[in-house]
Amino acid sequence: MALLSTDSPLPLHGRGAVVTRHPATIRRVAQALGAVGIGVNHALSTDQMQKASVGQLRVVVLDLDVDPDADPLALVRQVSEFYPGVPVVVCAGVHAKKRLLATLPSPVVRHIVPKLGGWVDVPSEQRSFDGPDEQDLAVALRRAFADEASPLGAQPYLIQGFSTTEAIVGSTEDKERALESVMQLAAALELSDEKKRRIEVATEELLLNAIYDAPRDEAGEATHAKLDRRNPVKLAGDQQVKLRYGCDGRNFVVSVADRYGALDRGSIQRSLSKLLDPQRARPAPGTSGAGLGLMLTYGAANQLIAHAVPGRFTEVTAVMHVSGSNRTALARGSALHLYLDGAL
Amino acid sequence: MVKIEIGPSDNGGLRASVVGKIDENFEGQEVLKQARPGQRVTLRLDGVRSISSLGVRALEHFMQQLGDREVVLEDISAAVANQVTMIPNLLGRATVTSAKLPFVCPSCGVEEARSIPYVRDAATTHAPACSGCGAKMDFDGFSEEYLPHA
Repeated sequence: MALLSTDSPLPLHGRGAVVTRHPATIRRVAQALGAVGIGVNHALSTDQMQKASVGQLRVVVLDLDVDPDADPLALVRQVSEFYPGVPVVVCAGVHAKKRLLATLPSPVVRHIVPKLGGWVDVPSEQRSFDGPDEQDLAVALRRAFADEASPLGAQPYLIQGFSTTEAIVGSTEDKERALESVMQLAAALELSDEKKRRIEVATEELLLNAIYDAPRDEAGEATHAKLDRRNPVKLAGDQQVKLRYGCDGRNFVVSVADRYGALDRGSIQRSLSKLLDPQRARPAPGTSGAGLGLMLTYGAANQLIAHAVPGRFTEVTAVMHVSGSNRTALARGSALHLYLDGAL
Repeated sequence: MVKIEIGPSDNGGLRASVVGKIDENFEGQEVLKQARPGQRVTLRLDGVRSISSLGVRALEHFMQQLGDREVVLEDISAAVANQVTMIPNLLGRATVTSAKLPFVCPSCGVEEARSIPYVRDAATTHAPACSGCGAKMDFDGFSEEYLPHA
């Protein structure tokens, strides 16, 4: 058995296990981990994973393509049993959407990251993909390791120091005005119709969720969820929602925070799993929420980031890639980053 | 908020053009009031720029209210086409004949929404010629995200 040498001239903040046999993924993931000061323990398959001392590993990056025929959840289970308590990043290029979303039921999965070009399910002879975006992954891991307990807005997903715009939303009218401001920025940047549509969908759905689904009473019961969405609503001062947005030419970022922290992993999983079985993607009857908002936001975004601290805040951020063509953005797929269960 | 323009179609049916964003306020009452029982209804949807989650429910409800009329959808916009790939039941029993989708010219860079048949692989098999230079245009998307692929 080969010995694992972990000598490094650089100061490291821990190590990460990376399970992949895809050269582009090795390179891009190693760059992402390196950018946040994490050394790499590489394994070509789950059978070759190396034991690590308790507390040494900060994260496991599992490439589901190490065995494209395996049940994705079984692969995750294998990894989490080998490295108990270590959070997992899953990435994939083969049938990426389906296989990545299939891992969501596992609580150890905190980040699902498509390989560039692997999202759209094309026939195998047309299939071609790179590794996951190292810049986006590094930002996601930096946020996780920082263990922030407050909303961060759009800034982490823009060039460092880039300005963002804020708006407080306290009513349906405010929501319309805020949405209009976001779309004015998109129009001023002369983004294509499809890019503008994705921004509009994400912004509106995040605001609707924060206005109607988030507010809770003292007993934790949703107070606005059953309201008729056609009627205007006015939020009390402590129910108001903060919108932050900006665009640095690469990413258009929209972030919406409420003061309740009610979003949980189960809700996200139920919503996104509708993408695995489109026959289940039906709007709920009645006049309250249609139950499709998060799914549509995820479909519109290239990254969806959910951060919640129960009783304090939920912040959901949608990142739309706007440099290059619409096709380029679609090929990047939709990553999901969850900061819901404490520090990564 | 949507605007709906209604008029007769060539075959004695009703023709309506829908423009704007479909949201919780969309009802399509103008169409429902004017469409006679059994009358063919043709909806032109290339002006629909976006559909919210509440708009999905409103549109599904509208399609159901059209009942057993023959409903033909022409030039569905990218917004509608993309929603249908995620929510296949959205348009009920309506027949979609064409979609107006984003294309880009690899020669002169012009970007245009162009109408192609709503069939599998039409973005390739029916790729339009650029209105500027005549070159064959590239689809600025993936068929799987806008066209039927099953």
